Amino acid sequence: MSNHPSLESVAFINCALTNTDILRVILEGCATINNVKIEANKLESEAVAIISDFIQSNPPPTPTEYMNLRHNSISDDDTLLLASSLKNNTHLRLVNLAHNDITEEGEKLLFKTMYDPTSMDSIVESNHTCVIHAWDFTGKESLVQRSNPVEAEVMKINADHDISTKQKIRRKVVLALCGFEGELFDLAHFNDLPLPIMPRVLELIQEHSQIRTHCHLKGLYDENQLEKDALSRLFHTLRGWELPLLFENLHSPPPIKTGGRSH
Amino acid sequence: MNRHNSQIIPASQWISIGYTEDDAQKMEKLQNDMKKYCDEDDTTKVELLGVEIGDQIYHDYGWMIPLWTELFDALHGRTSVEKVNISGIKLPVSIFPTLQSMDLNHLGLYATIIGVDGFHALSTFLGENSSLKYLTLGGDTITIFQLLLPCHMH
Repeated sequence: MSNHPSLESVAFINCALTNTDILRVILEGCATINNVKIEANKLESEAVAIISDFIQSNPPPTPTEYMNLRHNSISDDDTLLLASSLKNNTHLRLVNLAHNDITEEGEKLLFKTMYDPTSMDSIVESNHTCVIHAWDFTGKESLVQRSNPVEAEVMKINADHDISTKQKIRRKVVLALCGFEGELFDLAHFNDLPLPIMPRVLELIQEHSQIRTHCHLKGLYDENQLEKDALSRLFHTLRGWELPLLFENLHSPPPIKTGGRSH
Repeated sequence: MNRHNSQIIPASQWISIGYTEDDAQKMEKLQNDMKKYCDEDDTTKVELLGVEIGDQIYHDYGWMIPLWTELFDALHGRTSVEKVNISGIKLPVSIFPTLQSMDLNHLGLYATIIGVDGFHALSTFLGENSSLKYLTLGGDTITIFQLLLPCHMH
């Protein structure tokens, strides 16, 4: 199959592909196929290890972009391996894991692959190209209904193939700085923001986030802790300031104007 | 050769070998559809739906051979057909040369019990084909896919 000149999509449905040797050979044959579906094959941990290898090593120039693994027996424990391999893949656009044995815990782990706001580095190292679904988004519950606003925003960012990775990272950084649910503004506004005013914008966001979080959660959390969290976010932002990935068109700062003269 | 020679096996005959009345009706419809595709020269999609039941009954598919032959003769070289979906009926290996003569871009075989010979024929078909974009295989067990292992490759 890998040498076929036009094959774009291959599906193995209900074929009892539980033999890992066979699965490995099939995936090797699918390395250049755009859309690979292995549905209802009772895939378990051993098979997930093979699939993770495939995801991690799927090379250009025509790597797989869509993987459908619905209706298998993939568990929360397996998501750890999948998440790890997905962090090293920049080609996949969609992995559908609906109707497996994945609970909310596994879903959270998979979501962290796309967006991990623990630090600036973890945001940069997240997967920015793939949308991972562990639930059936074609059912009654739409993506937005099913997800909280942050999840929906991250999905939107990763699914947007018209913006660069750097722009996606910038949006996720701003999202992390917002830091609380609800009333998300349109992060696309930050795409073309001039670099020199970005520090001030982030500062304002930080202040806004701190005040809003404080009001929203007053009485529920320790105020000092809230302040620490806010400072921590700011620290990570500043620490990552030198990261070339954060901003595009990073040039020398503009000359400071004093009395109409440049220095 | 007159392409309309073959007889449709009536529902009663399928019932006599263990099919339910509902499934027997489906088999009769399947045969009518095969006849229909023989006549429709401009069709772009061939969709044949049998029934998904036990292998022991599928083994009596020999009755269907004249109909299959008639259909393959009619479809051979018909480049208007872009999509073929066959499900729930044992498929003769002789279908693959017919499929090769079309400009297929979509092939779906589900529970067609193609067996070892069929798998080899499918592999040959894929090796020589240059038009197919979408391939769906389903309902066939692991025993067929064991042929993919290196020890079976030569």
